[in-house]
Amino acid sequence: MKKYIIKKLVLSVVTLLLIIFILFLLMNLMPGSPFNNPKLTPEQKEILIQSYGLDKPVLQRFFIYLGNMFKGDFGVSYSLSVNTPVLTLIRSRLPVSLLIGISAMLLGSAAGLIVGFLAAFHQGKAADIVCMILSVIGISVPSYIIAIALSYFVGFRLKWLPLLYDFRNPVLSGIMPVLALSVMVMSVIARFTRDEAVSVLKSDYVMFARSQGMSGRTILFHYVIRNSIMQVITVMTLLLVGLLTGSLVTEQIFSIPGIGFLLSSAISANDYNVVITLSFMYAAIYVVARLILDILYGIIDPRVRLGGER
Amino acid sequence: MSDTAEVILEIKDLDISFRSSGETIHAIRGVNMTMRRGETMAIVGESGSGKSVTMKAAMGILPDNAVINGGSVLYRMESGSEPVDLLKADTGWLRDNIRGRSIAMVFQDPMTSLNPTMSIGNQLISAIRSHENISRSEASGRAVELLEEVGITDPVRRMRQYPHEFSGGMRQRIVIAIALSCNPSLLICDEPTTALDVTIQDRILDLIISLQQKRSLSVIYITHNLGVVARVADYVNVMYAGKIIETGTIFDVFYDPRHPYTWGLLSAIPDGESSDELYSIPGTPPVLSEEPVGDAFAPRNPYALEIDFKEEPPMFPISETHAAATWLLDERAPKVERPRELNERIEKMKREASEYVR
Repeated sequence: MKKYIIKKLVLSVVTLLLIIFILFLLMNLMPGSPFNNPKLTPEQKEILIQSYGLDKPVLQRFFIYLGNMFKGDFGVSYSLSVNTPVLTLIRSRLPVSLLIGISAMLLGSAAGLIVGFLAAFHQGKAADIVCMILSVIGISVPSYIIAIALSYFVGFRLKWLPLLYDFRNPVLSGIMPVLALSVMVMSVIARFTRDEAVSVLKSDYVMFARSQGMSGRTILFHYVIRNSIMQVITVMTLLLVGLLTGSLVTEQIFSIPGIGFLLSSAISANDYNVVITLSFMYAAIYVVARLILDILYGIIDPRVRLGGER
Repeated sequence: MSDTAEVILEIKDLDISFRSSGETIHAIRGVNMTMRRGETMAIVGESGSGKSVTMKAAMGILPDNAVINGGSVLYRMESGSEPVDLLKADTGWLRDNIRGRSIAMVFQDPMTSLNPTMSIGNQLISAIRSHENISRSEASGRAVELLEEVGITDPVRRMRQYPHEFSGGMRQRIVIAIALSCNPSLLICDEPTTALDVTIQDRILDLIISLQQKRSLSVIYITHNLGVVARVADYVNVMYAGKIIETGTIFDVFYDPRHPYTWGLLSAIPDGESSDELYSIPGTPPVLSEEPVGDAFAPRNPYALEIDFKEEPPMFPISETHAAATWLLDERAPKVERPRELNERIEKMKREASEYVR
């Protein structure tokens, strides 16, 4: 198990280094420059580029950047908020995005798991069909449509909840964005859970367990959940990353000062350091989530941990 | 083998269909069989003839799309008690009193019969504890004994291992240990050796035979392998297209087969000597989405009479133990001899058997 974890750790670090390198190269290929203010003369731009060291070759800049990164310095913003350290920019916006993303994740996962297992145990019956029709709708309707519908009906017409996010009242004003985001999570997870659980329920070992007179509870917890949860957790990881990166439109609808918002403005302003740091952060979240997932696989499925067949 | 033992299982006019995408498949079309305590019975037939379905119906573990149209499965739990109709029993009662506790089933593929994410020990313990109110450590002790009984060496250490760490034969031993964990009186073995290497097959059969003697189990083998039947069974039921078409003691069926389908099956056993091409029954079994007219075997039967295509033959009794459903046994039927090669085979089997006894 130790060897397995170390192997996964090393792989994760290598992956992250590669990601920074590729990000750096891609940023270099991007057209335009951070200094687009029409009032700047070409000479002034030249001075700015030199002072930030942007005239040096890509590789050299990459290693300088990497070195600074290890010291915890992710550079400063060039255009959005001139000379503010990127980390300061992110630090003020991350908590609200995390809070809403993770709440939506938890709510959606819990509901999705319950709906999925419920549908699987009533496979082919009315409950299953209703759950699956709802989940198809939930997957196909983008979260911003739900966000708009919610803010129109619940916020504007009924006036039950505040229309816009308010950091002084994060709970009440956070309900609608969380709901809007969790519908998709719930639908995807319900769908996966149901399909996985149905295939486990059809397996020979469940048939054998049933023929041995094991109780429904034992079969649910020791057979169905244990053997279907890993696939579901894998999907959850992908969704979590998607939730943190893709909540951009929802953040705009509810005017939430989050990082999705920051990323979109940084890209259009060519604010290199902000884009790289944010992209790197997303990648890191994903890689770390995968790492945790791999370790979990090892704990739940002995075949992975011991490198056995099948 | 004794006719005086009480009847443990009696299946009467069992009739089952499956519904799948608008089609109804009439899989079991009136099955009757009787089994006495302590006997070994074999149900033989091609895939899809309804062998497994019959036994799964008895345990109430049919898939959801199965419909039981009629019949009864009378099972006597303890000697001297009144038989219970398992088809009418409540699912919860079946789970608590029948499945695993009174009737247990060993499935075909040991590679997929065990939960891959649970240690062998825990699977045994949860099987034991699902029927008996004992502590984990007590159950664990019992599990070790069971593993020893089925021939797993070093059971204490192996309790902690997972299915993928065992070979196919070992896994089947573990499946058998789980099946026997709550002392059932009837063990159903559904193709218990089909998925295993030939060399392992014999050892698993030996294990089942020895456990049967030690625990005085009644055993039903579901198989298409007549070699297995010859080794283990007292009684044989030959199934074709959802019906039993010949029934009798092993001597009745192997030495004096009467149904042309049984002739075909016996001719198709490889005997390891004749270099001729192995015989196979021409054609394929009927798809039971349409009710067969006449005898379901008629289209594949070289001895079919005109009436075989019009009317289904009833069971004709041949002796007290032997019966077959073929019009050839009607007194009006023309005399039809068994194929000569088969008769030679039967003579050879008899010779070999008598040598074996001596």
